Amino acid sequence: MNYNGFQELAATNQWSAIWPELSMAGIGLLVLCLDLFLPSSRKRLIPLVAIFGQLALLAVLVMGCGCATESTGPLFGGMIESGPYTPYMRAFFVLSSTLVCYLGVSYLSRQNLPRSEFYLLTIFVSGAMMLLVQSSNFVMLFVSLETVTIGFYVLVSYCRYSPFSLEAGLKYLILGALSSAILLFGIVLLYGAASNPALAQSTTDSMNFAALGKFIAATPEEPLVLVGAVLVLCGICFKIGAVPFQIWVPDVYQGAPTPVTAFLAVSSKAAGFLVLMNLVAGPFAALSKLTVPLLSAIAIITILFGNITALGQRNVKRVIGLSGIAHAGYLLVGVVAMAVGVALAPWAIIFYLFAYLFASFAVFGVMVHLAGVEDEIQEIDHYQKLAERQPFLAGVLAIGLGSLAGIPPLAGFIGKLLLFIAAFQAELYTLLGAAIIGVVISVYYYFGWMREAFFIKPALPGDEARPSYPMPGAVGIIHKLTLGLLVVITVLMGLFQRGIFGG
Amino acid sequence: MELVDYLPVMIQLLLAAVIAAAILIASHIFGQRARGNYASDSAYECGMLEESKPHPKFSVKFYVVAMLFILFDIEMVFMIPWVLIYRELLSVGILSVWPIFFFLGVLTLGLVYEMKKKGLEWER
Amino acid sequence: MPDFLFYLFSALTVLSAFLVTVSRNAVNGAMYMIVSFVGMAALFVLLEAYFLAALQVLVYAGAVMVLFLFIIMLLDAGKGRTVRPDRLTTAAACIGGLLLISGLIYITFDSGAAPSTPLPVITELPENATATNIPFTTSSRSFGYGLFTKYMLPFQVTGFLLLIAMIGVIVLSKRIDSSGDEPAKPRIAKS
Repeated sequence: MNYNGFQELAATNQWSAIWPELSMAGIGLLVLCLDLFLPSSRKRLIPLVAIFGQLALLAVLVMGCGCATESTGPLFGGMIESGPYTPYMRAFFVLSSTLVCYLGVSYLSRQNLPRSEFYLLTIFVSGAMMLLVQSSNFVMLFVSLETVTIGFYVLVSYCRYSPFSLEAGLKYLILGALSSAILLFGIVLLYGAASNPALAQSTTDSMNFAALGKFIAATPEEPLVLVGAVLVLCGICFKIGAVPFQIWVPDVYQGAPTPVTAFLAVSSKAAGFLVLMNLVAGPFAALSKLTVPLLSAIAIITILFGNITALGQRNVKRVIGLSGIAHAGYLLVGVVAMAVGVALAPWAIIFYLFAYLFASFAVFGVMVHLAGVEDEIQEIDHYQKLAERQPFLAGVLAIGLGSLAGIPPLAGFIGKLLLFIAAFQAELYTLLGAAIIGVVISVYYYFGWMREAFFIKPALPGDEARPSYPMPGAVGIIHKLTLGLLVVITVLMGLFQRGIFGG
Repeated sequence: MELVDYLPVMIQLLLAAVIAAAILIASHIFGQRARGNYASDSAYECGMLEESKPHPKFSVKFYVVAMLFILFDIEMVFMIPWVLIYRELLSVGILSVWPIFFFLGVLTLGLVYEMKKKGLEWER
Repeated sequence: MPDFLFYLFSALTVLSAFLVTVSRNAVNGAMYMIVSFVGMAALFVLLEAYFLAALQVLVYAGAVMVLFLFIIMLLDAGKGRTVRPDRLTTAAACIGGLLLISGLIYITFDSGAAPSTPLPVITELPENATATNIPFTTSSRSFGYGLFTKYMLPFQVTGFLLLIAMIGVIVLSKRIDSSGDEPAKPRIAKS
């Protein structure tokens, strides 16, 4: 028997090319070993190892971002392929994971829950996301997606004494499994159609994005391909929480522990969008007649639905969830522009994701500090007179929310602007209109939240009967520094964005 | 391996179906029928009255064990193809021993974790 | 003969899968599910995917069903109140499902996307198996070749997937105190 083919394949398994992912796995395993073998008096070291390990990795990655990265081509037998934005997304996921671990420290200090498992699950899931956004083969995509999703099932229901958290976990499990099933069904249809020898450009490697792309370009009208592509897109839309696949979002965001909500809102959504971008620009590039109208329709409903439903919410975690749906809608506008072929669009999406990361974590940092033991019940009322009692937190909240709403000169404004320019270049005027209406609506509820913090309501009769919310103690110096850094970056990204991504 | 090799399995399946059907039919034809009443339907016809419902709730311990069993079952699934081919891969210099050791190492760490957290102890 | 067996086993699979959804008793449903899984294993045998058939019986009909039965007994299912779904929802779901099925059947059989020529059965790996072209053969060994060369990275990621699942089982089901020694007191949930 001839083994040359396999030797060739084995030679493409260059583990050194995925060293950031391997380091994430290594940090996770280190945390696990420390948890197992450290005496319980030393267990306080574990979060430090998790956070500083990731910070060191982040520093190396950021330094590497500046250098010109040559594309290595397909690796691991075509399983993964790093694109032009891979270095940025690696830094994105490591940063987000570090911040989630950081928020986890202050969340877990109030709960009687296992500690170190939180960090290592977060780290493993982030490592899997880094692989997910590079995958160029449906097998790799599905395996890493499932690693992410199963990690999230555990993280969402992490607070197992809270009925809210368990309910959220169950809802996420059922709908996540459903979406995985839809995605798999789509993959199977594509796989079956692309390996049919009776069709043009059929391939034996039909899980591979490049081979599949060639096949689809040759037979874009094939109904089986269209159904498969629609099902795959639906599966991904579940993960990013786009309408009509958004039902899980508010409940899961409310029930999950706040750091996990942040992780879901930022990392999970970003990973979903990167996968969508890879698909739309890769194998489904020839299907733009299908993807553009489909995703445009989803984007319009998503923007309007997310913003309108967020208007009536009083629970801040639900507000974040529903406004997150709206943000998914804005990002979908970018994806549509990318499918039309605007070169600016992918960079606009990545800039938006970074702006969203900094602003969201600023807001979540304030939320984690203000939350009591009952993490799920955080009403807007809790923020009354925040400016009076803790002006620093109120300032952070204002800048974070302002950036999410897209107020100039903050980073969120530039992010939205870039997306809208991309949409304008793609001549998607309807989408642009819907997005602008959405932004205008969103200002209302973001400012409602801010108003609660800054302006004292006139005392109404019967106000004395209402419970007053105890404010937690002063903000620690480390928390101040972290939040301050996030805010400063948000402002700086709004002022100086020239040359961040090399033009 | 050919499809024909599965003929015995097929025959066994048919045999099982025929025997089950035969027993049911035979007992229906030849069996004596009694009027059902509470005493003869209960699990112990004579003796103590039953204390609780016949379906007690199982402890979560069973569930944990079943779940862990599945995980190690799946681990084994990956080892079957490895056992079949590792000598060939070794002879042509394709790495397959260290990777599976790493794979097993990760899962062994999981096992150590379970033991350390007393996940495999029945009394808790 | 294989044609007849195919129709027999696919009818068995579909029918028992349908019975899973309509059976009132959860244990009966689980039993129908086993029949469905075994029927699927038989279909794999007919497709000459023997390894897959064995795994189907081993993992799904064996291990997964054990878990299902445990959960059914754990929850003491069947004693709770039955929730009737909304009529409109039921109707919409039925119509949607039927449309999807009929659409897929039409597409598969009428549009020429399904292979009309019988695909060759490969028993051993061909001499010219190249990097992009590893055919799945009927022998179990072909899984090994793929797994340790082309699919090495997903294989290793699966290891971490299983580790995450193990940790998740313990985290969600065992009482672990933050210090890891004493059993924790549950937080009293406010109504």
